[in-house]
Amino acid sequence: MDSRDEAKIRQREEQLARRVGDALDQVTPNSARECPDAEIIAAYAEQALGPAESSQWEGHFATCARCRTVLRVLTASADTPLAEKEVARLGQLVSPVRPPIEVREKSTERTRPKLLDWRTRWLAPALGMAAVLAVWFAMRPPWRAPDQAATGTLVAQAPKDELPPTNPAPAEMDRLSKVAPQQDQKPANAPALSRLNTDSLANNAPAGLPAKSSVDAASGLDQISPSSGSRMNSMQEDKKLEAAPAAPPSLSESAKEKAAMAAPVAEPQSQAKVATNATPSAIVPQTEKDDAKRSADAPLRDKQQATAQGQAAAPSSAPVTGAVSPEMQSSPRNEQTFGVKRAVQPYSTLLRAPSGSTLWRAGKSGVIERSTDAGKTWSPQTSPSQEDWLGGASVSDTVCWLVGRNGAIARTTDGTRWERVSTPAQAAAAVGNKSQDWVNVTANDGQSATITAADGRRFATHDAGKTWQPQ
Amino acid sequence: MTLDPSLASLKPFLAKYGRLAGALHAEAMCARWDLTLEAFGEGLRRSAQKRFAGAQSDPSSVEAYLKSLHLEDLALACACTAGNEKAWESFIAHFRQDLRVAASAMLRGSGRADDARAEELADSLYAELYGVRQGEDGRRKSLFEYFHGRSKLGTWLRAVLAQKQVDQFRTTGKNVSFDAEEDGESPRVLAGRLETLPTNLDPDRARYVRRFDRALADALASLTPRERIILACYYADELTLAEIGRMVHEHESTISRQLERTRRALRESVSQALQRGSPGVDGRAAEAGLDAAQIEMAFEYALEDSPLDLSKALSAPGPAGELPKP
Repeated sequence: MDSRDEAKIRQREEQLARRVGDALDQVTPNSARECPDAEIIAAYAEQALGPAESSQWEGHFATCARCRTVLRVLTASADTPLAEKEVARLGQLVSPVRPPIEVREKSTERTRPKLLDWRTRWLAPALGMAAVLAVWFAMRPPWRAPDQAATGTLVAQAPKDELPPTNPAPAEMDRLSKVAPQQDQKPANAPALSRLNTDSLANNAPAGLPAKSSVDAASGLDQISPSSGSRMNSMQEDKKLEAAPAAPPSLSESAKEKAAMAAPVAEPQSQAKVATNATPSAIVPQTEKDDAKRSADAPLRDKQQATAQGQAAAPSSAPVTGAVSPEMQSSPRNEQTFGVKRAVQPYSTLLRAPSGSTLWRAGKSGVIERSTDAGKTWSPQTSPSQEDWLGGASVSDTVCWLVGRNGAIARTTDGTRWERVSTPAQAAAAVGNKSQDWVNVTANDGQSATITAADGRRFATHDAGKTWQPQ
Repeated sequence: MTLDPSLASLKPFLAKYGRLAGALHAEAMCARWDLTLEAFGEGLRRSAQKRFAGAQSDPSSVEAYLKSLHLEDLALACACTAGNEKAWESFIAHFRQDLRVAASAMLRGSGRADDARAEELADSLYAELYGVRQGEDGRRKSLFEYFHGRSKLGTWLRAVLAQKQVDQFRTTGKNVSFDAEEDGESPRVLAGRLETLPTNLDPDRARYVRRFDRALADALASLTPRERIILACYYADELTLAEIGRMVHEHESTISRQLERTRRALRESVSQALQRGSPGVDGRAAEAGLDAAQIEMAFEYALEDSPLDLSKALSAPGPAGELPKP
């Protein structure tokens, strides 16, 4: 059969199918097939009907434009994973780095004036960088000659690399080592900001774990959608803007802050890139149906985002500091920096669902909050535990897991109600029947998850916590 | 088929399923809302009664069904129906924001996105949920009574909102298509095809079209409801493959393949039927099969711009089974 015949056949098929489809729309449902009530429609949307019942109602939906419209509206308002293009579009819409795109013609979302956007993007970071540099140079002028007579005070304040060759007093050496400039400690593999549970790890977990989280995080890179990565970075931008108006530190504190900020300021691109690439394990792998599509685009879109972010410099340094390497975490100076930051927010875990529109945050004393508008507003949720939450994983807009201190594990399967999940008995037995702190969780769905204890042991369940198997 | 008498009223229901009802009552944490076993049991009974109305119900099926319900949501709905303040506050706290977001999404689809409208749409539900109408017994009639726990409460609320929004759209004379821009377009009139055929053409035209329609009716009868709904959504509603996939819970690539198969199956089925001819049945004369050129003509004539009447063809339930119950 030649191509002309094939084309004709395809045309016939298309014409026939189109006529049938149009005609289906015109059929008046007879009284025997009156429209189902809201409960049937809702149950169908949730796949809660049996196969026979589903099939029967599909027969009605095929000929009832009203019911198809209701289904379509319901699906559009549902918290379900979106198609890749829709996710990408949403990512672009919420990202302040990218310029606003032209959305659907019916959308009435406000678009910020381009001039204001430009200023927000460039002027504020530039002013911030200028301020930091000014203070830096004021406190530690780089052009001091090495043979200048140094008093004890100057020696104490001098950067490490400018010390005179004579040996300073041991006490001063101790102080110097503590105020070593940040640039010597590159925060390689810094977890991204959106996973703030690294803060809790710094305070509560062995030093080895953050690295493990970083490794886990990095391995999750090709399992997240590119736009969720971009949204993650855009959340970092949001954090920058949120963190900016914090109370100015004292003078001595400012020196420490400067030191903390110096490296990120000096190397914004690599910082942003690292922050981009270090995916928190809180971003749970996509479902099988979405993985293949999204992973293919992940590197390109992430690189683009990293480059764009790298150009937005100084204010990014403050929150990026919050996502730091294990070496930085162990420093008491950085502990203090963290302490200042942690006092602002009670949440140690920020989770984003694959769709990007639903987020959860959880933290101290069992607090749980949820946002369904990409973080614009938050509503509290009833927590099944008063323990601190240390980690979590969001599978979809309705399925989320949380883990925390003293054996606390919880999950929600409808996005609203949280229920406690029993902790593995084997874990409790291994630590003398004390409750284990759970620091991490990865999940595939509402039934299957793997939790990680503070001592690194892992347990997996496939029945929503009824039974656990050590990994 | 008559209804199982144990589902007809509360007493026989609790007599037969009381133990299960007690366990479900505990699982649903009804004590939070001071919801008694009787009140919750009544909710379970009405749910089972609706599900098994006119259908065969053995105790194991009823028990399996009751266990599959969203019990906590059902308990909340029962408590709200009873007027429990704590339950109502909890409902507002948990669902208000989600309802507003859903209303906003729905209105956005119709090009009328507006915070005030979304709030109005969402809040319009509260009065009905609380119950502003009185039933025949003088009791306040709450919309919650129509929730039976088969789905999550949040999904049910969104479905109610969607129905309100769609029906409001339809009654104001808008086009059926929810985000259509075809204002002012009059609805297409369903007409029998033969009445619209031009009369000054090929004398065999009418015969070809008749045979084509019969072949098409047979082909349609063999389509599954899923295939029909995909055709309707794709061609009539002009949804994307992704949108259809979300509606029927399939990946868009699956929808694409199914659509391709359905189109091919329709064409092949019609072509083969025309080629085969038909025996004389129901008083109709036997018809010889058409050759390739004649089949081509039949397609040509049938697919010209005239509506198809599929009412008779679709009165057959298709291979899926019985007609759905009202």
